[in-house]
Amino acid sequence: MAQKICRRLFLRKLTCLTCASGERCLHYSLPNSYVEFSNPLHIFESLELESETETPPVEVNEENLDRREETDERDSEEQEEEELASETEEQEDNEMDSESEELESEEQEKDELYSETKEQKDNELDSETEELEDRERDSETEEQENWPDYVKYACSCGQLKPITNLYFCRHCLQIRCAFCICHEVDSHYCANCLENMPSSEARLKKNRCSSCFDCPSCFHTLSTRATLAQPRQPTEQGSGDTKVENKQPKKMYYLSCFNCRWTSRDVGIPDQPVASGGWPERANPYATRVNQLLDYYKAIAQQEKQEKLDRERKKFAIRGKYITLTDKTGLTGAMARNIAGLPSSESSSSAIANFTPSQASAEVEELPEEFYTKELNLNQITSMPQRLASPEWQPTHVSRLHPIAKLLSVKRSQRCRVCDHNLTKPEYNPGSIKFKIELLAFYHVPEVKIISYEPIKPGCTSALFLKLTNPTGHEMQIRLMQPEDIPEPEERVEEPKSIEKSLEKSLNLEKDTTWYETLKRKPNLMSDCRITIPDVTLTLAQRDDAAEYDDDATHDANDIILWRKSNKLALRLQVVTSEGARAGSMAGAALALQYRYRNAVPPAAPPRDHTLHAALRLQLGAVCG
Amino acid sequence: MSHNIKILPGATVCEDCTLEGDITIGGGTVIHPRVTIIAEGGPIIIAEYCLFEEYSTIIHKKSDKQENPPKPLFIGAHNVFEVGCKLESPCGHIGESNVFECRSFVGVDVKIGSGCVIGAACSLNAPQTLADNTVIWGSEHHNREALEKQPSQMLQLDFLSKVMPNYHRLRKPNVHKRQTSRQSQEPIKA
Repeated sequence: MAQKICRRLFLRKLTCLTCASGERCLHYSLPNSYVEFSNPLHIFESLELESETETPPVEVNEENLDRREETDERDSEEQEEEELASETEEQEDNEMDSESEELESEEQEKDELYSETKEQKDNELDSETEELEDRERDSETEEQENWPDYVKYACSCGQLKPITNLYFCRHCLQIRCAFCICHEVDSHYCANCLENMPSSEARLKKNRCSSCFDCPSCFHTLSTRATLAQPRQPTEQGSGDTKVENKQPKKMYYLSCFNCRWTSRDVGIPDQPVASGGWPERANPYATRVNQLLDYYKAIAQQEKQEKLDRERKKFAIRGKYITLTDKTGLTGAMARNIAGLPSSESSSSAIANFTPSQASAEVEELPEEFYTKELNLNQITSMPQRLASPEWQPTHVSRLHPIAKLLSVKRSQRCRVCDHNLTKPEYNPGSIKFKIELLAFYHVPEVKIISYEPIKPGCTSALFLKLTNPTGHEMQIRLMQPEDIPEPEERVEEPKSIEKSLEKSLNLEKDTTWYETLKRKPNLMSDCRITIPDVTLTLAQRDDAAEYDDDATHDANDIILWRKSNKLALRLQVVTSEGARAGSMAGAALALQYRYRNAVPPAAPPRDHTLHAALRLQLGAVCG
Repeated sequence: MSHNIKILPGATVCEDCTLEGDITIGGGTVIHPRVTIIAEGGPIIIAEYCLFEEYSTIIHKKSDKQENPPKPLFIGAHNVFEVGCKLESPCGHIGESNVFECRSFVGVDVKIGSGCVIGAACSLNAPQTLADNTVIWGSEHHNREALEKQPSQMLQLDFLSKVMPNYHRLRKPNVHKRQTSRQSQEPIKA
């Protein structure tokens, strides 16, 4: 429940379920990814909460992810910063680091501001708990009806997802999903003009494109339209004639929305003589205050870092083993800062001293008289989304709507959190939709599709027809199993680490993998139906694109195999439904695959064969009465 | 049904369209092929410089309270009916410079002012009156008020009236005498 409230309100104490980070990370865009608890142990509880609702939380949000990604690059940028911060954790004087921290602290303050109102709302919401939950359940079932994923695979982290949403790490030989991998920002680009922007520039421009605009009215992309401006006719006199001839009709440009027909002329922005750029920029009325806040938090971050450093130095001093820099070289702290190019501590202290916290006042200005008397014209008032689209100005009147600079999109690469290898890496060119690395489960894990099934009745046996496809370029042996028969993955023997690795470990740079243990859980494969598993090993030929056009299926008649066709085969299985199955409830059956996977990485080494397992859950419609 | 179609000189009306009832088409108007205009409830009068794109349908519906003589449906100048739009009106009056976007639907009892835009796939069913310069768009039928009328499609109309005769059989203007109808070709060329 706490999560549901969180989703509706601002978060106070953030803990990411995906990367267990206590800060804002990329997963912030997944509303369910964050829980309110600051104590990582509580994540367990929230996970339990989720399993009650049966649908993995990310399922709903996953679709949102991409969409949100595009609109909300701010988060991803912060994630990048966070990464930067973690990389440079040891070199603590890095300015980048301090910047990101300052951002965080700013957010914390924001959160505190909201905390009071939030608590009030919390109480209100708690009373509505049941109602909310009902609604939630309704929306979930709706979701399932809209896009039913009939076959879901279990990710190594326990999430159940369709195969198209899963990745396959060739190095760990595990299925991964968006929930348990690391999302990284590769590049920023404008989705409209497809121009690449380095991340530093993107940060400077507040993640907005300088030449493209969105409609402030409907948020569609604005197009530039040209008109021929007639030169102003001088007074109708003979003397003016020569001037008229000199003046050629000039091309003028204005912005127009093809969706809602909003034009920049509507709000009195003068037409521009050039096709792109040159649009008037409005100054943020709160720029000074925002800068003040930024300076303040920068200074605080600096100060805290300094204190931390001092503390550490003290520790060393106690040990008495090391000579401080000053002892050794006669270099003072101030000089060291100067050399490192850091602002002197004085300026930061002055920023803290000069800062005036804002005062909350109970008195609010009275509404003007005309507010009560004047007739309201809704066409003149902006809607809430329109106001929030430009938070600096928040125009209340449509005549104050100005074009919104288009938000940049990011290209993401995804990385396995366990072995740090890339799972996907897009091509750098923003116009290209291809990937350099694309380790999708769809290309590596045998695909199962439901052809048809007999209606599921309690206590009865129904036939189930499945199609298996081998997507790999190697022959594959598949055995069907019960999910509970999957052998527990044996602990991988620690490989003898290289010197570098051990050094990293000693420096505590090694990746903390405890998050994964926290995150991992058993996939929920419980069901009323049980598939009778035939004891056969099926061999699937390698994928052959040319064979796609071959129509005739070979009928090597068998009790189990219905037909075979290049890399596909159809199976006939029996599903036994328990007596206790409730009519009308959704019937699901669990199945596990054991398959031989030929690993061709690294290419130089001879390919190795692995026996891998995949558990999946089949959705078999509603139980008949 | 009486077929009384009056095409004023300067209008470009393709032969391959359904025109039924008492219809007057003003000069400069372009009617693409496959357009349906049915005047069953009364005459339809189309003013100058309107553009009817393919599959647009205008029906002047019969109503129970038929006045005698039947009230005409008057469509003002510079209206644009985009591909597949549908307009049903028993008593409507449509102003000037409106745009009916693709697959939009305007039901009976909707009065439309001037400079309105009915967005793509928007449908207006409830009895209402659209004020001048109203823009309706999106699946949720957002509306707003534009500052000025939609720019006219004169360039497009000129182009179409030049190109159309090369590719389609046209209905000839029939209001004036025969010799004047030939003369009427001239302003198009000019």
